[in-house]
Amino acid sequence: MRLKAGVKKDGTLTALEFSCTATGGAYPAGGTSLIDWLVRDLYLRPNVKTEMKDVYINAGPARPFRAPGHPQGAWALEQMMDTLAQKIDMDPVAFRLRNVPSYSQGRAGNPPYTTTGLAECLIEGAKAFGWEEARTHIRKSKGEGHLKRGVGMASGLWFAGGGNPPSTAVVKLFSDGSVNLNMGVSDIGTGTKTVMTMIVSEELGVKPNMIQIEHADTGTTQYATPSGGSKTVPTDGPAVRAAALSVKQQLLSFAAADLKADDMSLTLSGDEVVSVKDPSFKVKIRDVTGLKKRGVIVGVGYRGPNPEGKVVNPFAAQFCEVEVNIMTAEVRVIRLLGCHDSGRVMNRLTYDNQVFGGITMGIGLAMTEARILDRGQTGKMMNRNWHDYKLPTSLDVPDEMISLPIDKPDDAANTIGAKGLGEPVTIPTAPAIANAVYNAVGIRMTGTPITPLRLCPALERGGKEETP
Amino acid sequence: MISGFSYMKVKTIQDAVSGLAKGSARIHAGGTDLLGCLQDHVFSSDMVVSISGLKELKGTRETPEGGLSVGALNTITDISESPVIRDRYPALAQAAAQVASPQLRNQGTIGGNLCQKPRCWYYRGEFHCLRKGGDRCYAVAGESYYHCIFGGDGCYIVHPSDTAPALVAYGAAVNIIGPVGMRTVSLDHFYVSPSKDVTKETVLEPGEIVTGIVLPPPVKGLKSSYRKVRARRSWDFALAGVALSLQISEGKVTNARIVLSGAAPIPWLAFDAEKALTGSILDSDSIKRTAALTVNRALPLKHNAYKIPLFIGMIEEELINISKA
Ligand SMILES: Cc1cc2nc3c(=O)[nH]c(=O)nc-3n(C[C@H](O)[C@H](O)[C@H](O)COP(=O)(O)OP(=O)(O)OC[C@H]3O[C@@H](n4cnc5c(N)ncnc54)[C@H](O)[C@@H]3O)c2cc1C
Ligand code: SF4
Repeated sequence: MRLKAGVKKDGTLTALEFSCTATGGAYPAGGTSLIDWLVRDLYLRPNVKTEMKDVYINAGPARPFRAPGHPQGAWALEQMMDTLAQKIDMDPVAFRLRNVPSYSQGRAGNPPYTTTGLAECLIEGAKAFGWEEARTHIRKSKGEGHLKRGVGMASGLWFAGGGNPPSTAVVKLFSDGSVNLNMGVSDIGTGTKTVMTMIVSEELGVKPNMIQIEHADTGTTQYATPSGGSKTVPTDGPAVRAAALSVKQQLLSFAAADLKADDMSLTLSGDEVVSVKDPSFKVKIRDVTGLKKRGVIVGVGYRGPNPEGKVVNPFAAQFCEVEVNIMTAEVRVIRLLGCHDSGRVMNRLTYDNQVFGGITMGIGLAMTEARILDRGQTGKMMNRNWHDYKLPTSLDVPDEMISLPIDKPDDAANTIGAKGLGEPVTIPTAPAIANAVYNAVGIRMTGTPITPLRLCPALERGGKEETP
Repeated sequence: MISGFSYMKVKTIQDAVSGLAKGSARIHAGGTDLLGCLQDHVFSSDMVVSISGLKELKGTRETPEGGLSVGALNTITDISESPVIRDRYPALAQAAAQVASPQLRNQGTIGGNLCQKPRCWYYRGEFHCLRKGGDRCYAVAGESYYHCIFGGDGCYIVHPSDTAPALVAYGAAVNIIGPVGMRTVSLDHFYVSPSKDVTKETVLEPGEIVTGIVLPPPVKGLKSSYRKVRARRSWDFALAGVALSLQISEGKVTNARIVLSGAAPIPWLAFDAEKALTGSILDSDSIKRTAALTVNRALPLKHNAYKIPLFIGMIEEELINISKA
C-alpha cells in the first residue's frame, strides 16, 4: 500500500492518494476488495484518488475475513492520520474530529448517513480512556528505563452493517401464553438467538423463558440470507419485530371482542391485555376467547426496504496503551478501549462479546498473525497449523479491555434502531496499536505483525532518533 | 492420518528395552511431540512403546553428593512447580514455566522435552529435506525466520527445548539405559550437531531410554536465570533464549555459563562471552562486552539477522537483572 496525503495547518484534510497491490491467489476472489474504502469514505477529503491491483499467484485464493479490506486500509490511513496530526502539531483526536463527514463521499451522489456516531466515538472514547492525560503523562515520563509506554488511537467505519431485505420470520403465540419464534437466520456464536428473543419479548411482553426458538433449518424455517457483513441483527431483527407486532395486533383485536372495546385502546402488559385508560379493565392472554378457540395466533413478519437515498454504517474509535521493551523489541498491549456506534445496543453482553472478540482479532493482525508462504521456492504455506499460525493467546490480550457503546438508536435505519457490530470492531485495532508503538519509540511500523522480527532491526537502526 | 502401529504399555524398564529392540519402535512418554510427528509423517513407527507407567522414572530425590536426581517422567509442570527446583535451580524452573502452554506442560515430560524433534517447518511439513534423508535443506533459500544463527552445517534447525539450555548451564547429565546397559552422558555432550550427523539430534542409540537427569549440587554464590523472547506471550518456542548461571564471589564472576536457545541446532555455549565475563565485575562495561561477544560469530540466514540485536539486548537486560539481584 502507498498513501500520500495533503493537510492544511488548521487540520483540514485536502487530498488522499492511495494505491495498493494484493494477491488474489490462483482464482479471482479479490485480494484488494475494499482496501481503499476508508480512504474514500472515512474522512472529509475534497480530493481523492485510489488505485488497486490484484495479482494472480500460485497460492491459495484470497477470501474474505472479518471486515474484508478494512483493517488493511485502516492500517495505512490511520497511521497516516497520526503522522499528519504530528506534522501540524495537532492532537490526533482533534484532527480527526475536524474531518468528520455526515455523508458518504465514496458513493455516487454523496448520500447522507442515517446517523454517524464517529464524533461521539472519538469524544466519549477519548474521555473514558483518559487520552489527554495519558499523552501528557507519557511525554513527561520519557527517557529513563528500557520499558517505554505509548498511547495511540484509530477510528473506522464499516462499509455495510445496515442489513437489507429479504428476511422473513414467523411468531406463534399459544393459548398458554408461550411463544414460538421460527426464523431461517443462523446463530454463528454471535448471540442472534438472544437478541431475537429480546425483540419478541419486548414487543409482546412475554418473558424470554417462555419463547422457544426454531431456526436455521432449511426444512422447517423460512428463506434467510447468510450471517455475514455484520448484517444479521439489522436484517432479521426488524422481520422478527414485524412478526411479533402482527401477533400483537391479532391478539388485541380478539381481546377487544371479549372486552367490547376498541382494539386501539388496548395494550399488552405482562400476561394480560389491558385498557390504556383504565388498567383495571383487562383480560388474561390465556382467557382471550379467540386465542382459546384457535389455540394459536400466527404472525408473519417481513423485512421492509432500507431508507431511500441514505447509507447505514456503523462507526468506531479505539484507544490503546502499549509498553515496548527497547532491548528486546517485545511489545505488550497494556489496555485497549473500543468505543462503537452500532445504533441501539440490543443486548449488552452479546455486544461486549463482539467488541472483545473483534479487538482480539485486531491484536492478532497487529501482533501475531501472518500467512507465510515458501516464497521463491515451492509457494506452499509454511504455517498451516494452529501452532505456527499464531493466534493471540489470553496473555497477548490486555487485562484491561473496555467496551464503551454509544447507545444511539438509528430510527431511520430500520424498526429496531440497530446497526451491525461484528466487523467494525476489528478495523481500528491494529493501527491504534501501531500508533501507540510509534508514540512509545518513534518507529513507524508499516508491516504486520509487530514482533521482534521487525521491530528489533528497526530499533537497532536507531529508529528511535525520530522522537514522537 | 497416522498410519497404523502396535501399542505396548510396559511395566518394567527391561520390557521397554526389549520392546524397543524391534523394527521402527518409538518411545511414548507424554506423547505431545510423538503424536505430532506421526501425524505429520515426520517419521513412521510400527510399534509405540509407552513408558508412562514406569514408577521408577517418576519423582525427584537428592543425590548423596547433595545434587538432585530428576526422573524422566516428571511433567514439565512438575519441574516448574517443584519447590526444590525453584529454590536451588531457578533457571530450570523458569525455563519449564515458559515451555509451550499449560496443557502441554501438564502432559509433556522432561525426558520427552529433551528428546523432542526439531520444529523446522520444512521438516515438519511435506518436505523431504536433508534431516529426513533427502538431498537438500529447504531453509537455506526458503523461509528462515526461526532458524539458527550458529552451528548450522547443511541443516539450520534450532534446538527447540527450553529446559535443555538451563540443564546445560547447571552442568547436568542424563542417565541412559539400553540394550547394552546403563551409561551417563553429560548434557553438553548429549546433543549432536549437524556437522557430525544431520539425521540425529541426540547421542541416543536405537532402544536407549533416558531414565533421568542428575543435577550437581548448586555451588556457593550461584546466580542463575532463564530468559526467553517469543513472538507471542505463551504457547511459542523461543526466538531467542538464554540460560545464565554465574558464580559470583566478592563481586567478581568466577565462573560463567551462558547457554543460548533459539540460536543453534544444539543448546549453544557462548564460549567467548563466558571467557570474557569470567574474572570481571558485573558492571555496565562488562555486561555490554559480554552481550556483544555472545553473537560475534553469528552467521545468520536470509531472514533471521534480527536475532543478533535481539540476543544482545536480551542478554544485556538479563545480566543487568542478575547484577541487581
Ligand atoms: C504445540 C507445541 C508447542 C511446544 N512449545 C514448546 C516450547 O515452547 N518449549 C519447549 O521446550 N518445548 C515445547 N514443546 C515441546 C514439548 O515440551 C514436548 O513436546 C514435551 O516436553 C515432550 O514430552 P512428552 O512426554 O510428551 O514426549 P513424547 O511426545 O512422548 O516424546 C517426544 C520424543 O522423545 C522421545 N522420548 C520421550 N521420552 C523419552 C525418554 N525417556 N528417553 C528417550 N526418548 C524419549 C519419544 O520417542 C519422542 O520421539 C512444544 C510442543 C508442542 C506440541
Ligand atoms: S533446516 Fe534442517 S530440518 Fe530444516 S529443511 Fe534444512 S535440513 Fe531440513
